[in-house]
Amino acid sequence: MSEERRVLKGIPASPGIAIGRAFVYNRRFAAINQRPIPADRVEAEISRFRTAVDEAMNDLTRLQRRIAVDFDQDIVKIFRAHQAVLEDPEVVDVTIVRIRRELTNAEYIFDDVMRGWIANYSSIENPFFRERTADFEDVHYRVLAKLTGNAQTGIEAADGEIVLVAHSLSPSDTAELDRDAVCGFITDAGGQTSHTAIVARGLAVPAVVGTNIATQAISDGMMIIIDGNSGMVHLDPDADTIRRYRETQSRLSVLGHELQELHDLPAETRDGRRIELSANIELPAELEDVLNHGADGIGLYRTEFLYLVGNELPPEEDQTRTYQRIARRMAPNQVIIRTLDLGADKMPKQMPDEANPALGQRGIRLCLDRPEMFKVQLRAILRAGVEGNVSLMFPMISGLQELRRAKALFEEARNELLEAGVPIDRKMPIGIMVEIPSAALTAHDLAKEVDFFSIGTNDLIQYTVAADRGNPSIASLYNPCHPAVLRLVASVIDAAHDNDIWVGVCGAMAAHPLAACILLGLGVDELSMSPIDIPEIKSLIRSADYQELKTITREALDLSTSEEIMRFMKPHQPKTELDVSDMMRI
Amino acid sequence: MRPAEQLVRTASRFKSEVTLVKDDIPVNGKSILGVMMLAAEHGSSITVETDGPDETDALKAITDMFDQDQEP
Repeated sequence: MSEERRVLKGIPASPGIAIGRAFVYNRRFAAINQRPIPADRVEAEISRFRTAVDEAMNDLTRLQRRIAVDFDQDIVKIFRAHQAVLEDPEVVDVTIVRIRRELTNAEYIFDDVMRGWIANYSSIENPFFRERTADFEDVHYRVLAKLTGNAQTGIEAADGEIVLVAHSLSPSDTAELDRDAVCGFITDAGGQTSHTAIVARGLAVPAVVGTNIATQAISDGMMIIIDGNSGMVHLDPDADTIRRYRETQSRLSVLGHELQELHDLPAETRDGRRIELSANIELPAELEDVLNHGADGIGLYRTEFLYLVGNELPPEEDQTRTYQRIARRMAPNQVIIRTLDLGADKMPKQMPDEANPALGQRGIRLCLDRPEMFKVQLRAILRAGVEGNVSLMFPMISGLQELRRAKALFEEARNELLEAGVPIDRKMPIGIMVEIPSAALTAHDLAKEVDFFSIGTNDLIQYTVAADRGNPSIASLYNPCHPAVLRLVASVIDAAHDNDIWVGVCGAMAAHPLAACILLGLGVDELSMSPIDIPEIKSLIRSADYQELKTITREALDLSTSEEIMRFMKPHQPKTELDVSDMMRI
Repeated sequence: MRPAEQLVRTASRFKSEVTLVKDDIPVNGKSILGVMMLAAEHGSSITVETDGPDETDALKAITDMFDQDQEP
């Protein structure tokens, strides 16, 4: 076998090194064969089916118990819904009656019964109910796996140091997996800012995405090394390679401890400019990570997860409780809650299909179209404000009219609560994500009507250079150092400061050392990133000289290509004692 | 609790068969999948039929539940 065949190249999505055995997560099933069952064995066949159902029920109970401890109750609801299907007489009793009547094997009948239900539901017009089929398919799969003796009933069956290999992972897949057992992810699909990548970084698990062929090239149990910094995946490596990676892994862990010592030190440049360094999160379970990595607060709390896991919109009380918990845990530090940004790659199942979701009804557009749903969230955030230092942020604002409409709904929600005598934070700051070029270009007008800006560079870059950030074949066009992007960012920062409001950056760009230097030089007040990236960027800020970067960066803006800019800036990137990129060259 | 779950739970307490009919389509009132199919399009009327030893009690329990549901 040639050496090249043993290495896959993907997109590095979450840093670090993972060494473990592969677990290929594959929901596809071989065809279910129809087998006749002799009349004298039909009761045995039925009891085989009952056992499979019982085992599936027990698995679901176990999953709920485990998840109830370290995750939100909302995820537990999914599994309760799955159990309800296994208690349904039209599924279980009907299967048993048909096994007996048709003298046919259990998997064939059960498969047929479930397919019937899934077909019925697929034809429902109401998208919420139509999409329940995803739940049914989960149950379908789980029971069939038991019946066919396929031990792989889901990610939770994985054991030990497991490298999870999948075509792609849905939010509920990632919520379901056992974080103690899984040491890394590899997916066929996805880009650097895809949902899987974001979750992997949030959980501090090394990941490589966009490999295209991982699920075909890798088989269960194969020894795998993931290099989450370079995007390399080693298949069945020789002893020497494993040793080299183990050494790097332990050096990285030492480095991690050293970075940890930065925990209580402020993110302040050598010449005394203090930067607010905050964390992006999407699960309350990530709060400990945020505190452990020495963040100043939460710069972006993505609330989509609340909606995606339950597959329905959580009631006001549930939302309030979740937001309150985060506000309380972080107080007196700031928590910026971003209102629902559903759409594009995070499209939940009940949303209508769109030909071009990235340019479709997402973020604030969807919320303005469904004011009652939106106001539930606004009320929950206002109520949570009483428990801590909460700010509210609208995503995907494209201009002033949209902002005013969102603020009008906010006022309505506020007045409703005041009239009802519910305690709220009366002075909650309101900000917007600046992530659409039209907002960046009208930042001067927007700045007059909000309390802060947070530049969402992931979308701002993709909309500026018209390159899908999740598409590996055009990934090279998606460059944070494109002069158009940097000039836009600079103009947004200037607009904010001219109007005496603060401005942060909450995209992946904030965690990229060279790009972070540029942002620093452009005068950004806050950087928000995955908790895992905070120590490294803090160390960078503490080694930097703001006045020097300020002068240099303004010169860089006049250069005409991203290559020139990067080459020009590189010598000015401060050397930190803890240079991860040097360590990773092995 | 969602109305569909509540209905199935109520119906399952009784020995009698519980059938819900909407637009001439009957579904088993003890089946969450069946009841959710009906719930998918609300607004039209549903006929409840019960058949068995405790059919009167079953019918009352279910219609009571619907009445409660109508309250503002």
